[in-house]
Amino acid sequence: MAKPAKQPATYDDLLKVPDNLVAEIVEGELFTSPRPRSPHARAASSLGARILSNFDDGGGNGPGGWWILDEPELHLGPDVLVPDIAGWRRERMPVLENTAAFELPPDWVCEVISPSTGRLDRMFKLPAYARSEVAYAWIVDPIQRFIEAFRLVNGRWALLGTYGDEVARIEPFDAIEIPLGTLWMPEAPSS
Amino acid sequence: MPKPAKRPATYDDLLKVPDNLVAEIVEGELFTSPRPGSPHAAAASVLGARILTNFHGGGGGGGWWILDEPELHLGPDVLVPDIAGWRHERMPVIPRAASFDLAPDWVCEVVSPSTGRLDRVRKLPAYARREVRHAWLVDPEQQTLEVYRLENARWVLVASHEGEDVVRVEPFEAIELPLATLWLPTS
Repeated sequence: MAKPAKQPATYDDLLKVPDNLVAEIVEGELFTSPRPRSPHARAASSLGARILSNFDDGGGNGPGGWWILDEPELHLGPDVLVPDIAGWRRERMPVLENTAAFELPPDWVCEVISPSTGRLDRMFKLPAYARSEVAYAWIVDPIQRFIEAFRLVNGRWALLGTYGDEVARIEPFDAIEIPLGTLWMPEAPSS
Repeated sequence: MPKPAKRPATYDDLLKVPDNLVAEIVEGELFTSPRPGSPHAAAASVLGARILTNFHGGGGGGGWWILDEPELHLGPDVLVPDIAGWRHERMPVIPRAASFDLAPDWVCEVVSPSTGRLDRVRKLPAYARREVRHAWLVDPEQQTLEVYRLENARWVLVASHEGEDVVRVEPFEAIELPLATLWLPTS
């Protein structure tokens, strides 16, 4: 992929970004994204809550076995990434440490895309997660109202399925049903 | 995926759709899409022309038949990809027909805000069911190209390119594709 011919961005560059922007570094390039709008926030909040309450042992009433966090800062090699939601299996990360950033790649990431972040998410962050061997990635589009679920197979993303308004079981959280309609804003779909 | 509790759409239903809309049937449901805007048209036209020029032709040609917006009848589904290609070994001649029953080897969908959901949620799975080998998704607004290859009945994302990348992309990796030529200047 063509990169600007300039010095790679550093963590100091990232720290200079105003607090109202999400700052990330992928392949040496600094990306800033505005805080998301309500369809994005609703999808991330609703999905995160459902998965956390079932799979993070703090919830206590589901299969458990995971740590689920909203917007953790990940330091994956030279990349600094902030997924909307991430999960680690407790067998890989027994203790949730008190830290500003995580160097252990998650087992699952979820990116809620918007017109302003879709390119970053699909073109830069998905390949970065693959390089760090994140096992699962979900892309959630709250405007067009669908989820794409990917699993890493031999270093590449295999599309497990795409899901719209149905009640779905989606890996790695297929132990529960997710009524996807609860993720979207109350409005007609675009198609 | 839950289906509307109504009778499946038929080809007669599709024929009643006004000519200014693209009509398709997937899993018994009728979908209509407006004719695309200029970023979509430019990307599809430029990409189609480049692939066609290099790969289309019989008798010692490029080994493919490349067609813009062919109507595909794949089992019960009626699909219209923006561009499709068949390898000569699978389709020696282009039949004279209003539509094709033989699944293509390659399809390209140019996605727009109004068709992205249909393309990704409905049409990609339909192409996988009929064992289309490669699917490209081109997004002229985000200026991206995603390349999927069917492996074990599943789409695998084999490449993601964007912006002004000059790329070689399967199944047409014999040529270089300068992506910048697909995009309209940003205003």
